[in-house]
Amino acid sequence: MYKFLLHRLLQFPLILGIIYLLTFLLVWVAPGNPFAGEKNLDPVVVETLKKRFHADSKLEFLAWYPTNIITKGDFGWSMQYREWSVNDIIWTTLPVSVTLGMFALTLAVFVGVGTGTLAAVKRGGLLDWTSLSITLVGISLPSFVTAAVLLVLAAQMHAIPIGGWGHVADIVLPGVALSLAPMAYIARLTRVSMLDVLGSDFVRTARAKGLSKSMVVWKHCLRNAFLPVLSFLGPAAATTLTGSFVVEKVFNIPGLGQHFVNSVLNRDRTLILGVVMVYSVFLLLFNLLVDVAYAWIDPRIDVAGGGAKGA
Amino acid sequence: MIPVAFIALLAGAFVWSGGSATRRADFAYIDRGDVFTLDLNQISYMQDFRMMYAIREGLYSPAPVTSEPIPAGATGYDLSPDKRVWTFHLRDNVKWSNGDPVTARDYVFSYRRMLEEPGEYTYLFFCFKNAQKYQEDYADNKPTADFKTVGIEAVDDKTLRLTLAEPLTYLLEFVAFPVFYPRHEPSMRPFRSFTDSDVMDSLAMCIDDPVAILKNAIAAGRTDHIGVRKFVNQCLALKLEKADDLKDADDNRVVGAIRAFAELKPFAPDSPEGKKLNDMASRGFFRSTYRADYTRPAPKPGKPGVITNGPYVLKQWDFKRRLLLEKSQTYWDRANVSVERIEKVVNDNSLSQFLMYERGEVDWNSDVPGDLAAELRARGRKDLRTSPAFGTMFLTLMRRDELPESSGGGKNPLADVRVRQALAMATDKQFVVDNITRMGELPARTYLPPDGTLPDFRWLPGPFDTSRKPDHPYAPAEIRDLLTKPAGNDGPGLPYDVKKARELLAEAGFPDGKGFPAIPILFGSDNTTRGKIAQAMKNQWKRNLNIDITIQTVEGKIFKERVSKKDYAIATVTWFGDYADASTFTDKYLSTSLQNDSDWRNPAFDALIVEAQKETDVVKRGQILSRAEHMIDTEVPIIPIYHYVNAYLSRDNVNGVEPNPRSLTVFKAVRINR
Repeated sequence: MYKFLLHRLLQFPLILGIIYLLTFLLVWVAPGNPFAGEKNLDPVVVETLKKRFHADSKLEFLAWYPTNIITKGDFGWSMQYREWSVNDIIWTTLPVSVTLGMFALTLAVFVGVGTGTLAAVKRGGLLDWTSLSITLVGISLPSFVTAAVLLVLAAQMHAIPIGGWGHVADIVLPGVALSLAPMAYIARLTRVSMLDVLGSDFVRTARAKGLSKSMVVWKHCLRNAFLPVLSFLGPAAATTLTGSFVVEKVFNIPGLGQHFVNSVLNRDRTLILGVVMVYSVFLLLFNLLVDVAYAWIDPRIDVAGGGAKGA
Repeated sequence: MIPVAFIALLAGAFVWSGGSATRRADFAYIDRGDVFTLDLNQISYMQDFRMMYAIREGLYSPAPVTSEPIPAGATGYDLSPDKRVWTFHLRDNVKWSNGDPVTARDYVFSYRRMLEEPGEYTYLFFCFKNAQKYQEDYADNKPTADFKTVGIEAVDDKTLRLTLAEPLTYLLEFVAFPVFYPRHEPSMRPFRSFTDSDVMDSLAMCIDDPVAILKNAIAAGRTDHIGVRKFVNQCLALKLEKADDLKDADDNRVVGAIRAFAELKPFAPDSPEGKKLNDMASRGFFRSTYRADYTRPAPKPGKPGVITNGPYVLKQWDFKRRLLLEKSQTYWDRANVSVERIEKVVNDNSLSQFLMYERGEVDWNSDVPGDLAAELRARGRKDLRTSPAFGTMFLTLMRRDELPESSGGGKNPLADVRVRQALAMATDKQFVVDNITRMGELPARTYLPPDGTLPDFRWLPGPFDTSRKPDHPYAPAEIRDLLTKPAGNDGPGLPYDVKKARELLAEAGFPDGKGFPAIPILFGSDNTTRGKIAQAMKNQWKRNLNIDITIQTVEGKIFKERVSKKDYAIATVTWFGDYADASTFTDKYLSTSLQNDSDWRNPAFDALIVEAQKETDVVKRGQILSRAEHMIDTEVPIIPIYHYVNAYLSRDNVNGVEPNPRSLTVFKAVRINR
């Protein structure tokens, strides 16, 4: 297990390096000038700006940037938000996205797994059909529609804040909007795998042994049925915790998500690299966590490779 | 157990993310998203200027209602008989927010930095004697660069003398413009660093291996006792500084070290090292820069942060959340500042901005998107307040003989003035303001807007005007009157006249539009109104001239880049005046202007602009600029479409922030009736 962890952790720098190089190449071949402003700029002004951002030449930037990241943990200054370093931006926006994402994920997992399980148990019943239709809507409606609908609904009710960040209540609307898509997906996943598990031999054995139905379902079946949800949760957590462009835009949340799109539109090269690296780290970490959790939930799985034990 | 842990975790994360209930300020407003920058060298957008008027102040500042420059940091000025030397007298009791007095040296420092680390508005400073030369020499690293030759000097603490290259009738407009505001050097020092890499290299050499340097010097026959001692002292001093950060070393100490170093002559005078060293020692300056975050408020008391001199101080700036202003306790005119706390709410989403205003969370919203504003106007909302703007939306036409590849390449039909005129006269601008923008804009026939910013400016009658002789020009009020009526051929500029347009197009070799290439009209996808206008142009020109124009959409940043590189055929652009003088518009079309996107060059036009620059008589100067403006209207490097309207949402109890043509908002004047 430890060997496996160490092995995976050692791969991280290599993967991150490759991601860095690819992003860097894309950022540099993309047309558009990060320094373009309201007016056309004097060449001397452009030179001054380029010097400030170590962007005189691609090579200089390519060499300066990773060195700075590795030796100082410094992603440089944002080319769009000139007073803010990329580190400043990440450290003030990431916590917001993480908080919101945690809330949304928790909501998605509890409600999703709950409805999925119930739907599977009462298969074909009214509950199954209702949850099926709701999840279909959740999956197929894009978040900019659901978020906007929620926003307009909430604007009618004065109790719920409609945007911004500061009050605890601010988390409700964007949190719900953000949770809908993964919630629907989790419900579907749970239902399908739960149906599989419910038909297996050990369930019948357990029931024959005299265990109550709810005990069997919630304790024995869910443990097995949760595995597909878990593998979905890895990338989903990375995406949700680093913020969503649409939800942050609609509810005016000062999170990291908006910078995934805005930094590209602004050609803010340093910030693009910054957010991509943060997202990559999250993705790698959560995939690793999922693998570890797999082993914890289902001890038959040998994460170190070599297939299932005893197979 | 697990749910409790989750709630605890969530609560922790929430606190970590900076969430905590904060009271809204006395006056809360929204204008666009975040500020772009608060660095005077780089400001460029409306929301930045607005913030500057609140937290900083210049010699003069714009009057809240009329936008006219009125004395602020200065009490007045003396003007020399040749109208070139302006001597400003600073007010006695003006103070920085930390209590330091504002001195003429703070202005000199600020203006100098504008030249040494140039930004978008540095060109305005070229009105001072030798300023442009100094900027260029400094940028080229010439040892001859000498700031003493520039016409910017502090006579004493309270007297600033500005010497102009040419007389300038509207210098007060300039000094009331934020880029001409002073800066507090001591509070910026912690953010400074040297950018001369050769200086830093030499210093590193000097510190790292002083023995080798000494050996070299001795070998070269330099054993002068005093010189060696100086050198050793400097090395020791710098070694001590290096413990902190060499880059922040005191300017004088760096200069001193390099001089001591050079005095030893450790290298042969004609060796590359020797030359470099002598060059550096002979220079009086070392290039430095300031970290951009010097404009942010101190994170904690006692930490370095921005010091300003305006009616308000910037208390808090939370990235993408809010900027909080508090009334300054050291401002000289604080008795006339009524609102204690002002908050700029950062919100990028126009729907949520509007909802926040509707729910009473903000008092003032200057960022009403076009569609919504038109809708509110149609409903007769009283709190939607409008004013004609000092800005024009127009199509810029590529004047070059060849079209760029991205626009189809080949011979450019727009190079022919008759084609440009034909397009202009086949454009139904009334349709655009009635159906697309819908804010009561005036359909434009001229480049300069008749909004009242320039009450003395006159527009010459257009080439098809039969009602007036050329010596009887139009006053702004007459133009407004003319543009609100159904347009005829009389008036300045070119009329909407399809018949004449077709004749002109036929003369240019495209009878009934035959053989006219399918050139594209370019717009940025971040601006939907301009997209609709492009579509309307395509339809109108097809109907009126039987020519086919294509539409090209690109991302906002690419649009800007392509227009500035003159990589387009027709593009939808705008221009807003920065100060109350016609030259803020006409200068754009000088042959040498960086902002001349059309590449239209006309020596006669250039001559007029130069003549106007030398003219000290205000009336005569206006007449010369009228002739220049007339050339743009008739030679059509641009097709003016409409003159903008500024629209704000503002509650009835908010006074002092009425919309005005230049959208100048002086928060010092805000009054709230509770």
